[in-house]
Parts: sequence; C-alpha cells; structure tokens
Amino acid sequence: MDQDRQLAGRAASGDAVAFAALVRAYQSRLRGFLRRLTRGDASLADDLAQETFLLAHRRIGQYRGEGAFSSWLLGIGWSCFLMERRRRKEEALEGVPEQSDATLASAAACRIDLERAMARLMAEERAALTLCYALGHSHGEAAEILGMPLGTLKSHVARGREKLKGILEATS
Amino acid sequence: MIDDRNLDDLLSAPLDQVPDHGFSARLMDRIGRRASRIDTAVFWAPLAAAAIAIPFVPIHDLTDAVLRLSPGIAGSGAVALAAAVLALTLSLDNALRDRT
Repeated sequence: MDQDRQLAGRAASGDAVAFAALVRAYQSRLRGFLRRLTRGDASLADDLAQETFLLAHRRIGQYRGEGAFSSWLLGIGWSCFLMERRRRKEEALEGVPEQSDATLASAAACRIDLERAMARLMAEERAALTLCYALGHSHGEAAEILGMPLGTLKSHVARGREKLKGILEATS
Repeated sequence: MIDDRNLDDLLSAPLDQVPDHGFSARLMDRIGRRASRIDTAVFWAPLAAAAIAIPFVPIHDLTDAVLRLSPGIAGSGAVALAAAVLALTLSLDNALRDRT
C-alpha cells in the first residue's frame, strides 16, 4: 500500500513510468471486475477499463492514500460502468441471454454456470458479491467503492446470494 | 442441491487473471498522446488569443497614456521600492526552486 501511495504521488507529479506501474499492477483486477459487471462482455469491459484509467490519471492528485489504491480505482470503474449503463439506458435484467435450465443444470457447480447465474442478478448485486467474495473486500470497503450506505450493500449481498442460490438450485 | 458453504466456495473463487496482451501499453500510449495535445494547446492558445486581440488593442491610446504617466512613475519612490521588492521576490523564488 505504501508502494502504491509512492507511485501515485510520483504519477501526480507527472511521472508516466510510475502510473504505468500502477496500470500493470491493477489492470487484471479492474478488468476482471468490469467483465463480471458487463456479464462477460470483454470488449466493453476493456473500453470501460481504459476510461477508468484515463479518469484515474486525470484525478491521481486526489488520491490521498487513505484507502487502498485498488479500492479507489474500482470506485472509479464502478462510476464508469454506471455512466455507460445510463447512456445505454440498460436495465439490469434486460438483454440477459435466456438459458435453458438444462444448460445450467448440466454443470451447476462449475465456474461457468456461476457466471451465467451471476448474469441474471442486478448489477448492484453482482458488484457487491464480487467485491465481498472474489476480491476479498470488507463490507465497509465495498460500500465505499460502490458509493452506497453499508446497510444497502449488505442487502445487495444477502439478496444476491439468495437469488443465486435459487437459480443454481432450480437447475440442479 | 447447493448449500451455503458450496455457494461461499463458489463465490470466493478469485476472478480469473486477465492477461495484459498490450492493454497497458495502449493505455499509456493514449495518455501520452493526450498529454502532448494538452501541452500543444497550453503553448499555442495564449499566442492565438493574443494574435486575435492585437487588432482590437488601441495601441496609440496606450502609448500616449504611458508617455503621460512615465515622468510621474519614474520619479515615484514608492513605485521604485515596489519594483525592487518584486524583483527580489522573483529572484528568491527562482533560487529556491533551483535548489529544490
């Protein structure tokens, strides 16, 4: 974390090499998170990741090192995702490819089916579950990243889990 | 049947690593091009603004005003002192900046 703070400080004073080091360190985490949010649309996720890093570069002076750099970055990524969703007027459950229960049932415990089941959740639920489980953030950190009250975050986690369980059980 | 533990295990699996495949290089290239565009704009914008403004500046009126004021300014102790303080401040600022 100290190293990130130092790199961010150098990047804020115009050191492109320092910013490139941060990009290399966090591109996988950010792109993975955005792929989950965009239901596996790698191309859209990468466009959003580019926008996120461009915004981060512009605002790098605002990062004070109070939290983890990755949390700050994921927060910007979430904002970019919300802007894109607003631009496309996309509702969370619209456009989800319908899958037959048989497809899900064939390998309910497999990772790929988790991704498919995840795609049927609301974006807020996907984001909350991904941050708290796959990326290992605390509920407090996740609430800060997503810019929502802690209670709302916990509701999204609980509701997302229940929905996911229902979807996976219905197909097993 | 999926129980809470299975679900926790599934959800806690780390996200797949996304290989860079030139993503960082493309991004840094884009940042570099944007920075050079900004530098160019910062350099040329004031010059362009001055070029546009010059035809509208009443040069003759300005030179007349300066000529009328200059004897008064030249004889003023307060103006001389202010100019000296300004010059000293700028020199000190430059010296400190060079040292840091």
